[in-house]
Amino acid sequence: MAKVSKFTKWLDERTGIHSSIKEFIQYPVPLYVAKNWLYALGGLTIIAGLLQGITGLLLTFYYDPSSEGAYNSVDYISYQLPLGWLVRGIHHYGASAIIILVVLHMLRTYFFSTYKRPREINWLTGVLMLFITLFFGFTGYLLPWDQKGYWATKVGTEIAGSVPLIGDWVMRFMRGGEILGQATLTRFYSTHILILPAVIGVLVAIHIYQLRFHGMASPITQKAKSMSKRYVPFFPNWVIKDVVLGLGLLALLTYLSWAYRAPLEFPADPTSSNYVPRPDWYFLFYFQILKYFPGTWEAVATALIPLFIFGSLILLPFVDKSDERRPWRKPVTSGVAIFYIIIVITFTLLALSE
Amino acid sequence: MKKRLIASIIFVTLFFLLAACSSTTPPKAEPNTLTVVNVDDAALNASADFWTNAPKLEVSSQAAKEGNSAGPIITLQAVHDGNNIVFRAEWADATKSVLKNSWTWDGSEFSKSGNEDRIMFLWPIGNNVEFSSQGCGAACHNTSENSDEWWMGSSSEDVRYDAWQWKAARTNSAGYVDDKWWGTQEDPTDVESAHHGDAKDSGGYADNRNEDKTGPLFLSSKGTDALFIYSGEEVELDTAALDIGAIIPGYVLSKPVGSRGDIETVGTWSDGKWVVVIRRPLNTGHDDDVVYIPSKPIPFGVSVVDNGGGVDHTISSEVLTLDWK
Amino acid sequence: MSENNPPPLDPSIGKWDKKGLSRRKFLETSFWGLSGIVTLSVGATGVRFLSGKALETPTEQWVEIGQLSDLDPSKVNRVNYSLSAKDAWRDIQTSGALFAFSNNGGDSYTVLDATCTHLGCVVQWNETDNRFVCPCHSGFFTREGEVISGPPPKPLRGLQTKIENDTLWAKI
Repeated sequence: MAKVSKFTKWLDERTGIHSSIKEFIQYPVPLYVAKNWLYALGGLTIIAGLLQGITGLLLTFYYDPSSEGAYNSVDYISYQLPLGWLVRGIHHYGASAIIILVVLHMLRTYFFSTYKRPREINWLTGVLMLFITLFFGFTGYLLPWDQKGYWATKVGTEIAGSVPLIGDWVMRFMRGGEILGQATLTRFYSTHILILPAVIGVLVAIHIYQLRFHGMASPITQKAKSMSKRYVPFFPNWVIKDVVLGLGLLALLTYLSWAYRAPLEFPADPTSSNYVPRPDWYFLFYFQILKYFPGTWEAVATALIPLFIFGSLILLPFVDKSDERRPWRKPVTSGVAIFYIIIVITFTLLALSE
Repeated sequence: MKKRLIASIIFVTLFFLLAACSSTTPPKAEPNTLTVVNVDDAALNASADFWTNAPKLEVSSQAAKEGNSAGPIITLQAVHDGNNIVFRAEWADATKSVLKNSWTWDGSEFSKSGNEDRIMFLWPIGNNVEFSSQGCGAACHNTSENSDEWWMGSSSEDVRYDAWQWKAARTNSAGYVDDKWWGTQEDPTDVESAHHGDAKDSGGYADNRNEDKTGPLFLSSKGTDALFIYSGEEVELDTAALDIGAIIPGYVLSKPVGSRGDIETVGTWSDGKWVVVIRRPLNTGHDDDVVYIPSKPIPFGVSVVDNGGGVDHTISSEVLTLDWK
Repeated sequence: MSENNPPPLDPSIGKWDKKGLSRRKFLETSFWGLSGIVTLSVGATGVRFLSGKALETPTEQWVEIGQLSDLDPSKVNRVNYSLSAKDAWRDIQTSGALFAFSNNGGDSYTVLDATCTHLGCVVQWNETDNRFVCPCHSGFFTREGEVISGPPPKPLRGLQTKIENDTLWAKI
């Protein structure tokens, strides 16, 4: 023991790492936060992200980012490699889990109104990370180079192409040329495994730094207020929750991978005429809504809907500036959120039932 | 406390919703998909109990050549036990045709006639982009005006097919399905030059005909009315023993030893329909065979022939998928 | 116990929850236990996944070496073979070099793998000195593949052979 602390002391004197870690893990977490599982959604999202990072890294050892080899290498991973089904399965279902967790985490933030002054930057980095998470999903979908990924990407880039004025340029930039081919696959791969992880890493760091900088937002219920002056240390009292939930998540993803193997459709055939493309489930509502816009209106809708959603998310903390944070006293913002939730669920169900 | 409880319930519910969503999808029968069911012992038995639990895929067969009449509905089922896969096929056929190229004795000479019923399966060996989205059409080269020049096979050296031909006259009664593979056309004038029998050490069917091709070489030791002659049963032809109108089978049958004979079968015709069961190891270990990996879906095609051959067959016009439960 | 407690908080902020602090030891143990389980299971999965098929021994197969008429029974013949193989998820044509010679005028052949047993370079046959030479690190082998001198630890690998229809086959 003495030896360890001697070494720690030596290292700390030279790097300061020990005192920084100590400060980080001894951070006082208010009791009303520690006792509310909803506050664990952020940490759980990070754990899910780490799982994606680990499984993604493992997959790169076998994945072949070429239009001739991609499908066969994913086939090899899925059906021939020991535990390949598990690694790919966790990566596949983990992607969906992250989308769910990110949305739940954002809803928690929204309903607790913790995006308000002075935490606007934290809300904005969160919105940016939501966008990047969806972009992760979009770029990852193509990589197996199966019918599903190919046609979803074809339609996805075509949607970008239908945006007035800049559409054609955007589509060509996304595809790396006129057609969807090797250039597209390579840039999607590079974006998926290098650019997006780097960007999201930085954003997570800013997000956590901001969280620590401002501390937890003050409580909004009477019960929480009664606990607001008492604290538990971040480690282990708070971290244990994330670990327990993380273990549960890992078990769930393992079960899903085992019971319902991550799907791999037949290889991409650009000439097939009867394939009906469908995006992944979290884009289904948007895909469905677009169906109701005829002809030229569709181009407008494809550009306006995402612009409107992300625009309103970005503007939210600058529009809703009142001091009121209790959701039951904020019928407008709460109503808007519930309205959107209903829209998304309805159109997703409509798309699924077709 | 209450709130915390509600929150955790919502959270857990949402999580399991994800599980539920994915669990509700598989039972929905996908169109054109034959689902292989896992059983304890995949026996080569058309009336085994497990068939009642194996989902049926009904394939309506269309004429391969435009203008010809459509074929019967082929009902397919499949089971596996981790080692073997067994298919059960059932289709209507008014006549049992098992006398291909048989010899009819008119008292002074023989005349050759007859054809057979068949069911054929086509599987791509390895991942095959074209076949996956077009089915048998991907292997069918039918652009020539003359249908005698149509051929089936692959356009590229890298693409091969595993072609199974169950033949009512030549293989069924010997207990096997003719296991072949298709590659590229080696001789543009020969429509059969893309087809190769799988490797074999011995066995297979042989023509029962004399050197001048004017009559049979053998009779069956089982008598002059035997529908089939099996290897080992051949006796020398004795025309004196033949009644006028006697029919001698056109082939001497035996089950091949080697990759050619990987596939076992039992096929019976009764009441206007064929019921055929076919069994093969999931992985034969032979380079010229398709490999089945339970959980990996693969595309295939099926076709039947009613007393004929060549272009004269009726096919599944859409891609069929073999999937696993 | 108290010495491991975090330093007291500024009274204006509040104070540590006593119950929370008293559970620290238990929670800490649980934390290390659970994260140990996660790390081990993820780590073991990763190691198994990454070793993949790397540790499997490739299956041997018979490969045609050449027609007997193309081989000179009085000499050491260098022959190149090629075979279809699986390279992970690709089907490839692979090729290599072998040496074949006969000690009974061509009735049977001995086939040696040309791969040096030292570090895998391809050995050359030196007719004048009647020996195999590895150019990389000056390893020498006799005609039968035995080590004469140099760093190679083992003789050249001899392959199982058969002659069928005037064709020489070897198991690779």
